[in-house]
Amino acid sequence: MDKVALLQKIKERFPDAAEVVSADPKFVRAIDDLQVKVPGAQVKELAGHLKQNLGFDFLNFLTAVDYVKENRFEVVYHFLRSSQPALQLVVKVDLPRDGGPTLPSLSGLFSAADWQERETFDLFGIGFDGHPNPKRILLWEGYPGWPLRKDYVHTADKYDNGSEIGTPKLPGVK
Amino acid sequence: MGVIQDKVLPSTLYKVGGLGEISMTTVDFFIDWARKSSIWPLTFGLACCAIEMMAAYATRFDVNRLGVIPRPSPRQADLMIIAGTVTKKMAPAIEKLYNQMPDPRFVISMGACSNCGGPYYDSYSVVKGVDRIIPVDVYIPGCPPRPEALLNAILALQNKIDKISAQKRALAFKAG
Repeated sequence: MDKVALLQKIKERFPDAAEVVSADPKFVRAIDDLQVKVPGAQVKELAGHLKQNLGFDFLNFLTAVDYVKENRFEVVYHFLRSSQPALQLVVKVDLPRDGGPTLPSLSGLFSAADWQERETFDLFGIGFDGHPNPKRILLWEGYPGWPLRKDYVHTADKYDNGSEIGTPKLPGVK
Repeated sequence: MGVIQDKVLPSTLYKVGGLGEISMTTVDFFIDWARKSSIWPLTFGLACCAIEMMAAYATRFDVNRLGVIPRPSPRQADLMIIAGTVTKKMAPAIEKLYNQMPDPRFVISMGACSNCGGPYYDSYSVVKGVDRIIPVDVYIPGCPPRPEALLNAILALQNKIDKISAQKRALAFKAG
């Protein structure tokens, strides 16, 4: 099974899935894995399909990217098929930035998702429905805000020296 | 007793015929000497500086020869080596450990992070210097400092401890 066959198999079940191609033809990826974008509501079903039918038995990696100028988050999943032929698949999901973005949790399927979803919630404020323990993991309870959001502004607390701390606001961002 | 016999220190050595030696000194000096010769640090590391601290404890640098023996409990410790980044989440725990240590207690701030925040100065989660939460006796620059630097800091702390009684006496004299 190669990239083309894998994309074919995913598209049979999920017609909304689209391969992510770079807009810039000069842009060369260091690792040439298949990248697929699906609607957020289908990601759990896709993950189940990958695990049950296509042999992707491992969730390598889960994080989010904040495209603040396009007003969206992109949640990135890296799935790994460890049996031969070994394959890696990148699944991306777009989410709106406004109004408490949420996705279905994968922690029932891949236990690796448990802490990584908590981390993504901790730093980006993306909720994961059905997570068994949806709490902050790195920062403490009651931390104000989501520090990896690009429009996050840090307010100095008693451990800071003053108001000089904090990420400057991007131009054109509310 | 090699330290007491040092010529610069306020002690007198008497030879008792055929039996051995008697050293005479003041209680203040003796207490300072005992304190500085058995600085027991709390076994406690926060980040990468702790690796250098471990190297200082290990055979090649061997701070044991200065009487520095790591202790697992703050109740038995005299010294807290803040070796690494102090995050805001960790800060209350450090305060608590410091408050559990018996007097006299000393703090060495090891490395750029615990001195002032270091490379994480602009971070949302790092304390801008451990001296914002507990008093620090000796600062070690470096990122991370080499074990020799930690050795040097312990020697500097020993010099500081040497003067404690004299300082206390001076304060008591001032107060009348």
